[in-house]
Amino acid sequence: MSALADETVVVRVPRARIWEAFADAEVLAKVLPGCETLTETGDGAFRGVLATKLQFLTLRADVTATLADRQPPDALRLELDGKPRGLAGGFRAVIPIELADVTDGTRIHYTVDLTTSGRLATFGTPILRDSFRKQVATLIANLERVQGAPS
Amino acid sequence: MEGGGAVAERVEALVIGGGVVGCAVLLELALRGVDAVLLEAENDIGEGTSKANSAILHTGFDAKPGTLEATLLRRSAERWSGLLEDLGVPSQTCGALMLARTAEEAARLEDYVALARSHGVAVELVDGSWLRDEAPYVASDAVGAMHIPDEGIVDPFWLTRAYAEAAIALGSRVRTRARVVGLSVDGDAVTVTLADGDTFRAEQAFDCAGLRADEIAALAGDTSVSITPRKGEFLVSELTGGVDRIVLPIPGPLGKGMLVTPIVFGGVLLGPTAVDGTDKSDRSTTEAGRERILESCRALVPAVDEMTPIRSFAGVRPVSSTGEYVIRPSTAGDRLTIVAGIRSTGISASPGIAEAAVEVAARSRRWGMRRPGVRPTAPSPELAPESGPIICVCRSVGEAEVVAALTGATPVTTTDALKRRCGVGFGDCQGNRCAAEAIGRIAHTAGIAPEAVEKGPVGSWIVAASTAAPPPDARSDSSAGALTASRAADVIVVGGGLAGIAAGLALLDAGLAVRVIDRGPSPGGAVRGIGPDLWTADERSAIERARRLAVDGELEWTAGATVVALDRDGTDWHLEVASPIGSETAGCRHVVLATGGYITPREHSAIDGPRPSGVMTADFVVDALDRGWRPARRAIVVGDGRIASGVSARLRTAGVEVETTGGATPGDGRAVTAVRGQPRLEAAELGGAWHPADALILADRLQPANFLLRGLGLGDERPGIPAPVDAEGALPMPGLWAAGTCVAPDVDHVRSLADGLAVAQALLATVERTAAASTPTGA
Repeated sequence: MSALADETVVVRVPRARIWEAFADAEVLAKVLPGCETLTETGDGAFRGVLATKLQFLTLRADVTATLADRQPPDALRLELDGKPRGLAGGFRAVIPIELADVTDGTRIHYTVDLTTSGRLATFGTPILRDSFRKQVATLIANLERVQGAPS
Repeated sequence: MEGGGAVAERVEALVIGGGVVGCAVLLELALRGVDAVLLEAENDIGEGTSKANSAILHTGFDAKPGTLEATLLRRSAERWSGLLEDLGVPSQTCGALMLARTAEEAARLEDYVALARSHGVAVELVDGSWLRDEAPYVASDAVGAMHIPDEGIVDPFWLTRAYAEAAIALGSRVRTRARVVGLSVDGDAVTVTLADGDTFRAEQAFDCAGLRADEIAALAGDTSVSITPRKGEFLVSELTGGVDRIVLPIPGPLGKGMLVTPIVFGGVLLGPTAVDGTDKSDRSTTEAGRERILESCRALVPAVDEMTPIRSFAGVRPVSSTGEYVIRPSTAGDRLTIVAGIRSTGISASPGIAEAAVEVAARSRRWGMRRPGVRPTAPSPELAPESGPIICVCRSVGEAEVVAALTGATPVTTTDALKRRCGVGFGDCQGNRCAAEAIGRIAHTAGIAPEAVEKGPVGSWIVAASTAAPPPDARSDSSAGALTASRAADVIVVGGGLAGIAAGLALLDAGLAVRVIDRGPSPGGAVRGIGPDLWTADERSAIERARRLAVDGELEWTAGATVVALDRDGTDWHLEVASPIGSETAGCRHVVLATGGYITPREHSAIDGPRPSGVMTADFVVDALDRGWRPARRAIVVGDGRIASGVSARLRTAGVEVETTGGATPGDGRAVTAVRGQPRLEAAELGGAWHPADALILADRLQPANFLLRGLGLGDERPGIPAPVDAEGALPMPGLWAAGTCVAPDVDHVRSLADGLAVAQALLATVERTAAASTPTGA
């Protein structure tokens, strides 16, 4: 397991609107980067297909996402289990998230512990980290586009 | 002009040489819409200097002011970000630290800061405290450093190929094994003749032949170019010691010195040495070079001592007589552009070099920009939904990646070409366990015989001869069950060698539901390959019983399958299994790892010399013979145990002349200290004397195969570290055990049967204790 990220970002989206996205598979599908399909399988549980560009390879992965320890509006933990198509092995990401109101949106602090197995584990952390950062940037842009407060 | 009886093919541009510079020039031409063909003498593009270098994307912070190199490095730096994204090349802007370890060196850093800033490169001076916080891996005596945040690293194989494949996507063509033997320049065209007789006439040609650029120019009568080979040795380690930036010393009077450089896909590169020579094909490495690298890099990063190198290699850089880039029209005429002397910054400056070379020619030829605004795109590999069976265990590379690599835009006819495209053979066994499968798949896809599949350069043959029918007990022997829908297993044994068989049978006899998952075609593991004559009576009995029970279905045996990952969930283990008919997740309460080992490859021994084909381990020999291939004509087999004996006997039966190094008693054999020959082995030095041979077959030591443990964070990430079991064979996770040579590496597997049995008994005792503890007393 490796700590892939420990970051704080500010999103120009009200905190309540972010929680709305977590509760609605349709909205979530619009904001998750590379989301091709997403189905709610239970309270706070989703299953879908995500496409991720790893610099040299676009991976499509079958992913289950769980929103655990939800303490609205302050915190939750996102757990992702994925199996990339065409590659042996998989990944698990545990992402505790803390949210706080700031003047023009929401400050989000998150950490990512990533465990990879099989082929993904041989790609090395730098490439995975680079890809993850781009995904987060896209996620934030999507959130602001889809859930941003009307100006 | 005609060649080989055929009319010369007319093209607008020819690029001679398929290294990173030639491929960048090809793409630059394609982006302008110029009809171009690249001619590469070798089996694959990037087979020369471009495959063996530091793989650094250099900002040019220390370039000599006023040089063409400095200008083109800066021009390239402007283009890299967009280009890497467009081409989809693995890369990282990791930054670099030029360390100062004395007050005098710290003062000299100021000069480098000024130089870097004069080139427009962002740098900052950092002190010892900053280093302790941000780069704790550097030597504790470092008093400061110049931090160059925009220095980067790249996969040089991918970059070279991406240039070519992006050009191909725009209509360019690449010919490999196209050795230029004739070149003439006249007022109308350049005429190029290949060794096979084919002839081209082009409006313009670019001499990008790297080390051979002077020889190509000389074909046209241009003797103004002179290239000297400068050899650099490197070491590769899979462990990084936490190094996440390039670490380099302040240059001394002898040059830039040696670096510790992260590798994009993980691990670090140590080196290079720099020795001017005369032999352009000399890529030999030496123990002395290795020691020099370790000593120099240790002074920068002390953790180098813990980085077990898994490979050494040497690259040869082309140095012009002035030491500068040579990019200009040939003295034979301006229709031939010389692009030469691109020594150590070829990757970093390749976009700028290509732009400069093509711009000059385009003005002369009046090539306008016919494709304005087109962005280059290298096709991304298309993977099948399932990974398929695992081809390379060390790197978990599955069939899907291999198929994508074999069917890409640039053809694959060598095992090195496949390795550079998808990583097959890059791991610690150095390809010995997957080379036979790789050869078979390359031959099938390319429509060539196994004998035509080479290791790397032209002439580096691997298979001397193949027969139509594999011998008995070979790959076609599937006496064990195929993958079947699994029953719920109490225990899954990973590995069907002697230890796995012994454990599996004992657990089955005790009434547990046992499943064995094995990569091999039938029970037996490593000793299967040496044949029954060298088995003990107990081993024979166990192997035959396992085969019988597997066929009868009493022992669930999954052949030809690989466990790629283990995961524990509550009290259960889940194993991800990849096989030819699909993947599955298998569950059980206990796992016995009997994953065995692989014969220690050359890289773990102090053997000086080049890296020709023909240096292999007994693992590959067994796989080759099983397929009906003869991997040598005259072989030296290293080792004095039964694996060496068994392999020697099978080779002799196949018609190979065999010399063994074994002595009268085990451990008494003669050591191999050096090899020679390139591209195929010609001789090995044994006990101070050279012995002619086209194969050196290692069968004397074993490395435990514990790749699955790395994924669990158990044990040690260094290759060759035994599974960390307790006295009973238990690993430090509940329900996880290990037995056999993955715990006690022994090339001849003498104790494997007994060890497997002992672990099974310990596991059974634990099961009984657990059952007793959970039984309500007085019930």
